[in-house]
Amino acid sequence: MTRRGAAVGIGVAGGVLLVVAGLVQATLGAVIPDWTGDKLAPVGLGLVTVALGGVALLAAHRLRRPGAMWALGLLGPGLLSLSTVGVLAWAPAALLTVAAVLAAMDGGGDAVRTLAGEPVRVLLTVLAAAELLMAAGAAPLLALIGGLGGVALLAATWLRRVPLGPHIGLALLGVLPFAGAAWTGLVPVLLAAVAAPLLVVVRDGHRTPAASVR
Amino acid sequence: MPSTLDEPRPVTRRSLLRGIGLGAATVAVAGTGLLGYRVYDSGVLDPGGGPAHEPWRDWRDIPGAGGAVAAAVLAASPHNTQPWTFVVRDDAIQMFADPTRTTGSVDPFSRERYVGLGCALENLTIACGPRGLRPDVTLLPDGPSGARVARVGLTPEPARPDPLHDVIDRRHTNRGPYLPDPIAPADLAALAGPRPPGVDLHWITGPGPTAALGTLLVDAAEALCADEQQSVDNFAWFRASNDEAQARRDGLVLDGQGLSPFELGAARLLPATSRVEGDRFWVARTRDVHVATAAAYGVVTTTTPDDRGTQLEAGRLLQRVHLRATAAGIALQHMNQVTERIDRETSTGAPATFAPRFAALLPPGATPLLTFRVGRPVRDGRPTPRRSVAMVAS
Repeated sequence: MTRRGAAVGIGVAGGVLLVVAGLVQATLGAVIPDWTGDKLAPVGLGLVTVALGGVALLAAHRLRRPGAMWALGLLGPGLLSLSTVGVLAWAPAALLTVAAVLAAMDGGGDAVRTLAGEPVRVLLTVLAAAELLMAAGAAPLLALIGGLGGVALLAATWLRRVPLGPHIGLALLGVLPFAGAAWTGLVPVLLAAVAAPLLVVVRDGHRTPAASVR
Repeated sequence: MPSTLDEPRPVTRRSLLRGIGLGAATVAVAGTGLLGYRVYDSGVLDPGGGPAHEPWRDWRDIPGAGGAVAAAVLAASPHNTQPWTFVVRDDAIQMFADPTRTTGSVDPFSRERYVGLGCALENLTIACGPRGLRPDVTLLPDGPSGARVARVGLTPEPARPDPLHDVIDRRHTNRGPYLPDPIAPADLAALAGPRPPGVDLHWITGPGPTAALGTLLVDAAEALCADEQQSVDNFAWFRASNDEAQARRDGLVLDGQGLSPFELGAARLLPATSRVEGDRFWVARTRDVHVATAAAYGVVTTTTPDDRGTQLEAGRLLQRVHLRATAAGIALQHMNQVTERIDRETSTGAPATFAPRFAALLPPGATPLLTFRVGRPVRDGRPTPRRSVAMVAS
């Protein structure tokens, strides 16, 4: 078996186990708290874990093709599940981590080069993830504003064919409403301040090809 | 000679600046990401959220005797210990003291505990009328040392509104700053209403008396922090993290410290404080905020401070005062460190240093049982965690 084939197989196994762990958390989490991390909202976290398992399975499937970027789709759910289903996550997290390492060993150079070529977009993606995480723990209205903001920030980061005006609109929508509505949390304001210059760099990157045509 | 891909690229000023910029941005993004996780983990953007605060949201919708208990659990109690349990039937509610929920050397004679039980009992009886029940209260039906604190018989009657019932979920201890506006004597008098037998309420107003009691309160806070056992017993009820507050659903929390939104946001992001740091914070807040901005003080006094029935009645009076104050837009904060020091000195046989100083501020023969400050609030108080009816009633 090739290293790539092993990564796919182990990744599928880890993804399936993670889905099962999520279902157990959602249905029996309150009954077996010692095994499921004694969470306050076992049903919600169980469903989140099922979704993480789905992402891991998708990533494992995508790893059949060349490239190793989808190894992140194994590693991320594996690590996140450690905070959603307690002890039940140990086995799937270990399998997914091993699968991600194998995939990275097989094609990690390509992935690193891809990421290295887009460092500002990678940083903005991290900020968008942080915004989505804060929104996930916020009161309903703030969660809506933060959720939309995080998605808008991702769109402003990765949609390359958006005209300048809408791009600026997405960027502003991505950070300003959440910073204004959740200013008492301080970090949303910090996030906007850190994201602003990075968004300017990305916007300048949009304009560069047009300038070169001239 | 043309360069090849294998040759290292020369370091130019532009590439150096780009590297520095990317490095700085990476550090800033990493820091923001970590703080973002802290915001998520601490529930910074969902104040008053989570299961620990559900009792504040759903109590009105619970009918009958269960609804009366749902109002009772929202009452004040020392250090938010919630020292109560209930047995609920359609025709009566039995109320018991939970012997495991004490503040130890802070309240060595359990006076404050029984006052807290009286507060809950008052909320319970107030919640009966709007639910079509007439309460018939018997205090200590098994005697002062019996297990039952009270029996509340329930008789159906037409539901009637009660303005104090409507503010039960708006009543919070407010430890924030108060405005410099004085409160008119008539407004203070209206807060007390009729006193139960053996219990009285004295208002301490005017610059001289309030300054003297303020000094006494700061001295008592410092003495309490200097007493390691009292400091430890105090700190045992502080819930440093959101997870702890949500899991235990009791105790003192950052939300209840009267901080500004900015201060509260920063405090929830910072690591938990140690006991000594917490003590320093409390003394500083007592001196610079609580005492410095108090418009007046109320002192509940009695001639029989050791009597459990008196303590329960004092608690009922205190709860009514707080509810009336809430309805009138007046903030209230319980400040019992002086009586806690008086009881501590008595229980350890130490010379009485605080009792004579407090007595000098009160009418002759009146023994202080409870102290609180009032004023017009700069900002509203916030709800603190509560155990649900299902957790305290059977």
